[in-house]
Amino acid sequence: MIRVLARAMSSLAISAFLGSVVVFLLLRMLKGDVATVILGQTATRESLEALRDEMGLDAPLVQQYWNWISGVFRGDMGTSYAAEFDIAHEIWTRVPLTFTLAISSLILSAIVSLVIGTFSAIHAKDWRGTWVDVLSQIGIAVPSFWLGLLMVTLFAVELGWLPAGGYVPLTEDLGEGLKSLTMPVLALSIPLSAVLVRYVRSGMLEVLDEDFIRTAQAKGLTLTRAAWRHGVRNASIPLVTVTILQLGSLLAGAVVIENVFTLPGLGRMLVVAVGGREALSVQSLTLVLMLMILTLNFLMDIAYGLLDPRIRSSGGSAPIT
Amino acid sequence: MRTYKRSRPALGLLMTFALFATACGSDDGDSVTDTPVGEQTNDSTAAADPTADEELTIAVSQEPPNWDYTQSGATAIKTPLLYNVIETLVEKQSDGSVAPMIAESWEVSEDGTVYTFAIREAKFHDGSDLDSTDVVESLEFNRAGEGDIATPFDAVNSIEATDDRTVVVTLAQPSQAFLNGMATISSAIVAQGTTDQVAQGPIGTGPFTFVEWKPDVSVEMNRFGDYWGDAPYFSNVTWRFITDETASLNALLAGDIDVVAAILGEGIDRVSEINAEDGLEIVTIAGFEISYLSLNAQAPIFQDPLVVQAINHAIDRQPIIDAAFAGLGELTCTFVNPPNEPWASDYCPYDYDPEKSRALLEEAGVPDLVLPFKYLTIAEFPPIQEVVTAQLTEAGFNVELEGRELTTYLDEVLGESADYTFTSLSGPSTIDAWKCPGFFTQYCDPEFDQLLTDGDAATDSAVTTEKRLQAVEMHADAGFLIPIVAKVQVAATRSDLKGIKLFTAGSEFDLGYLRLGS
Repeated sequence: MIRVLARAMSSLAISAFLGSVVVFLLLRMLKGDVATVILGQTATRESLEALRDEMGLDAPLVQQYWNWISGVFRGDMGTSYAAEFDIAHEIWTRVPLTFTLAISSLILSAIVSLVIGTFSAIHAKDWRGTWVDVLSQIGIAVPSFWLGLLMVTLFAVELGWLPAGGYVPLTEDLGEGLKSLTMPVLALSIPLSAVLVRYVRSGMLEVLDEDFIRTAQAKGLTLTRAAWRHGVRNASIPLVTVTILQLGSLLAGAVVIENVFTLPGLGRMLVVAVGGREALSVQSLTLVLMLMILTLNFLMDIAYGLLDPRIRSSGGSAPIT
Repeated sequence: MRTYKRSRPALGLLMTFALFATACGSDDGDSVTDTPVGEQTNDSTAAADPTADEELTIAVSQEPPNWDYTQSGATAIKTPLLYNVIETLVEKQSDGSVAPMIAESWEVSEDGTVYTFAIREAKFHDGSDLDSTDVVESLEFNRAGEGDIATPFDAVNSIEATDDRTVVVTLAQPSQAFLNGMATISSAIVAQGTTDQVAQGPIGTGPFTFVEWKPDVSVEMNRFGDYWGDAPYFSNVTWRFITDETASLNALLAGDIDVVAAILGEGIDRVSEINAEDGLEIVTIAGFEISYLSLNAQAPIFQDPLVVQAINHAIDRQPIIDAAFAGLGELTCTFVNPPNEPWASDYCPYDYDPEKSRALLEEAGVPDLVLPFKYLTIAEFPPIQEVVTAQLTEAGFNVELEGRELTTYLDEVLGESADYTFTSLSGPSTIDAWKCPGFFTQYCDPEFDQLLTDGDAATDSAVTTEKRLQAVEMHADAGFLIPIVAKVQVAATRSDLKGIKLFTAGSEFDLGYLRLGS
């Protein structure tokens, strides 16, 4: 177990470092900088130079990188150039929203796909399984932002049940907070569930062929009961892998969804910061997002251990299927 | 002191009404309020109830990098701030005349070089009193600013406080642009010693205080209890930043917000849908920006005047207005901003004639000329690009498209090297921005500059009008800057919201007269 931990930690650190360098360099390759954004249409060459100098954008790249990364280690990500807010604080206030959005969608999708996937595996050979197949195909094909817009039209504009956008923190008003998150979570979960259903279904079909299911049936359990009692846990391992792997695309989806529902999360912050060439904010944000994904991968390795004792003892990771 | 007023009948009536109202309702008989009721807003009924406890939520599509209006002339800054949080020395009226604001009166010396402003008694949002030193510091701060905000100060020699309530501005030569400029954000006044806080939210004298800016979410403003003028109707106003126009119009339809301040992009296609909706309406606000095409005069292909003429003859303005602005706005071939200036002209030197364009290209020996077209991929620019490309192709050009997101575009087109050949843009600038070295058209004509300089220095406004008219027509002849339309700001609002000012002097969305009514 310690070897697993050590290996996961060191790969986490190396990935985070390489990622931060890549993002840092890519940002410098983009045309336009924060000075062009602040000064806008009427900027003169002199004023652009003066502002760049004032913000330290003229410093050598290595020094700029060092200034930033050493600050990060001290817990200081700097202040944004234009708005002058504290970046670490701004990220910290946005983490709960994006985290809630991503994790709720993951959990909801995992549960929904487990139930529907198992159901469809059990009924693989009749019309019910076919229907699940068709529906999951449609679910995969629907982009989440479009689904979001459709839901806004129905639930906010036509029926008036839910707000069309905006965010109320759960700590401020639980009811309103849940209302403001309902559609975004659904918009992210539906396409994700559709993907996961297919993994659960194929995993479960394999499991249902295993000897221990036959044994359970021989002991008097129906196929459905055997599947739920003994099959689900076994079919969960590929589900965990795929779910965590989906996290990257889920965060990408969250950027779009946060725009559709005007939610002030990390995704919106990233879009605004890239547009405004807020290099420090973008670097710090991507670092945080990378760490989030890497940490979850790390937790995934541990989750394998819990789900499958064979992995715990061998000290390795489980394959996807 | 003699009060300088370029009074016109409509304004005279308003002033009379305002003076009467003040005399009845205030113990300060000298102060002048200039509440523009009636024809200046979409409201024809009485003034607001100042005690209502009402909230208003407005969606704006752009959020500025910060609120420092001296660094950037961005509409995103001016829309929420101007006249709401910060006020100016004087205020522009819908007919182009200038009315008192922070200066309750002013006088001009016979030779037109000394302006003496009498500063009214008022309080800043931090509780401090307004006096002439605040005004001097703010004017100097704005004078040191970037771009358009500093332009009206070009002729200024000195700005001095002669006593607590008097500010004297001395010009090197007479300048018509000076007083007009004092009706824009160039004369925005903030409390002394707070200029370094402007980027985070200025402390002004306006009817609303800047309470909180949540980046990427909203700006909140509260009614200012000690406001010198009529108290506004709304006690709290939230400006929500909703970049996606589909999202903001949906929020309006769902009743989450009350107003979408300006529809700029894809939402323009939903104008008739909003108008047809019960309880909602579209309001158009004049004097917003001019939309134009720009040619880089330094580009090799434009060294032949025949090619420049060919482009000008290829452009048909009305289809562009229909496609990108839902047919709203005033077609124009000359750059007069705002379009109600006295030197506005219907002069149109190049008629739409694609056959002529083809002939001109043949004559120039460059049929099928490759024309790189750099365009912005946001707001109204994609539909403009589509129509203009079709028209240029029809006229024999081989258009090569180069789409750019905003920041890259700013850097390439408006940055240090003007790296483009042909583009489309819109902005709140006046024609003066194109003086040598010609802004980003890089077209420089000393004769054009001289006309503008002479017009500015004239003490007789008729001479100013004449010179500026000649200048804008000369610029239209040159053909490097092709104005398309004087845009109107298209706002979508709940129909019981009254008092929306139907013109803007400086991209503002004036909250002062807004109220709910049947």
